[in-house]
Amino acid sequence: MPANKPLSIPVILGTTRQGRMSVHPARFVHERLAGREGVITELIDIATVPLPVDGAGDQIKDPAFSAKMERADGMVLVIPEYNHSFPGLLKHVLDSCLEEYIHKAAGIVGVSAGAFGGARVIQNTLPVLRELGLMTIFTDVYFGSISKVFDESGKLLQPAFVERVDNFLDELIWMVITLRHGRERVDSDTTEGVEGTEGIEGMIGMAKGGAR
Amino acid sequence: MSPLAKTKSYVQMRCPVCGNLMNRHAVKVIEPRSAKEASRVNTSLGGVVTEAHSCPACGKNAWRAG
Repeated sequence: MPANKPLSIPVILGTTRQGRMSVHPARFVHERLAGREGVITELIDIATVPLPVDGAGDQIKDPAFSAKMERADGMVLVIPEYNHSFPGLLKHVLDSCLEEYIHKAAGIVGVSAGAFGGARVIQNTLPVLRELGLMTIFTDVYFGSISKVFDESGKLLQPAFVERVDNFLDELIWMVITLRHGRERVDSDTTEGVEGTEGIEGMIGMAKGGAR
Repeated sequence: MSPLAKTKSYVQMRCPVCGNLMNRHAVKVIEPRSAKEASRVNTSLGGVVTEAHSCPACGKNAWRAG
């Protein structure tokens, strides 16, 4: 992995609704992520991704969003829970790409007005991300009762979320680094590999402490 | 050699940015999304074979039909 190439980890705000409270956790997570050394990030608001709603996939792909996903090493999805699931427009935006996501890390931040913190939307999003080729992490952040976590101006009212988000980002960044190494160095044919890559024999050699 | 690797004689892809040899890190079978893709469905695997590649030098990601 090029040491001087920072990790690209955008934060996707997954709702277009007016008055959405999810914008506050999205900005908060983005701010915490932007403070990490070696990471570049941006907040992608799906409301700004111009997609028609009468098509799908490659036919309607937004070149700018596609390029951001291709450059990304991983991503954070901030998703409000609407009737136990994700906003349809988020799914529409995510579905406009596919190859761009393969073997990249994804972390999910759930947001809800009620007490469960988006736990159900997180569970319902996991199979979608898996099919897209994204690798999900086992740490989530649950912003339940969102109006008690941020005030209307976006000020954080519960400091415990600093540590929760930082713990989430630690796990995400580990996965981002690991998957970038895999994408760039480990051939998909692990039985053989090709020159310059690590097939299974190379990985076993590394595990045994052998020099490569 | 894995069954998927046998679907294509493997020639490493050149990075479109820096020209380095790229690493093929995934061979994914996907549902066809167009008539063009439908015409190249691998019936044994049940979909269209797509390879994902990354450049170890500059980090560029790219893909091609498998």
